[in-house]
Amino acid sequence: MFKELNPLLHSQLRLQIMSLLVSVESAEFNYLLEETGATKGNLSVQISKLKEANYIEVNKTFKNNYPLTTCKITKSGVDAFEEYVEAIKQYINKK
Amino acid sequence: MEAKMNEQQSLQIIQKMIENSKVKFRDNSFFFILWGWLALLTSIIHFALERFGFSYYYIGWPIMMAVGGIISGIVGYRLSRKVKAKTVYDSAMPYLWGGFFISIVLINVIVRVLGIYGDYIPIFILLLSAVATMVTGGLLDFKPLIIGGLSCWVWLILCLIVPLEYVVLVSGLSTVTAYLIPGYLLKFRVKKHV
Repeated sequence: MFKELNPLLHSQLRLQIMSLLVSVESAEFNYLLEETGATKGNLSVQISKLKEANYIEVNKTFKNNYPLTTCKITKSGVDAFEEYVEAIKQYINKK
Repeated sequence: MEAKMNEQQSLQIIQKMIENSKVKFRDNSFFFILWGWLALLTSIIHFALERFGFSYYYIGWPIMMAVGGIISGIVGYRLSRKVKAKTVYDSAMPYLWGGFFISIVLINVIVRVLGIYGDYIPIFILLLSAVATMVTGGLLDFKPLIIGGLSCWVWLILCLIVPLEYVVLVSGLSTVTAYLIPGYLLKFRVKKHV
């Protein structure tokens, strides 16, 4: 029986964000922007969706008088990511 | 806008992003080079002053710790501001080397309080240095630092063999293999990948 792929993670940009965050403690918005190559607007939208699902935490502070947004993966984010990877593996192994 | 993708593409994205977010050759070579030279020079000064019969031959150490501590604090703070993605490495380093620094201060205090002969202090510092250098090398996956940490134990054995008055000099030389060579190699590696 195939596990259903989590639609929230089965999207290129959101998966990129989650894959980056799963291997660091926290990352700045600009770092995610550089690594994913997305536009600011699109990245903001996808970050909001992941935040609403409680997969990531978003902190807004200031650095050198400029706003600084930092993202961090949550425990449920890690669990969802691991489940997604397991599901993907199943699909690939069955092919 | 959501691009459609198949399972293979999903895995490729995960693999690529995780690869990108690995510790990217953090340039911490400055600290190894700074402390390497400071400790080496202070050891030589200590050895020379003791030979010339100067009563406060150990005076270089507190000065070196204070100067090195202040410079490291300022540079460390500046470097941490540049880090855009914080990893376990970034969080662990201040605890590891901060703990190392405090332990050295405590060793010196304990030796003075208990009135133990202080010339063996470098041996205990070498023990701590071996662990801290190896752990840093392991986290950075940088073999010269791991070997540098291991070399501290070799220098420690040498310290036990040589006459007591040479212990400070031998332990000072350990910085060449433990800090200076790995530090310059790390600097070179970072430059190559920038």
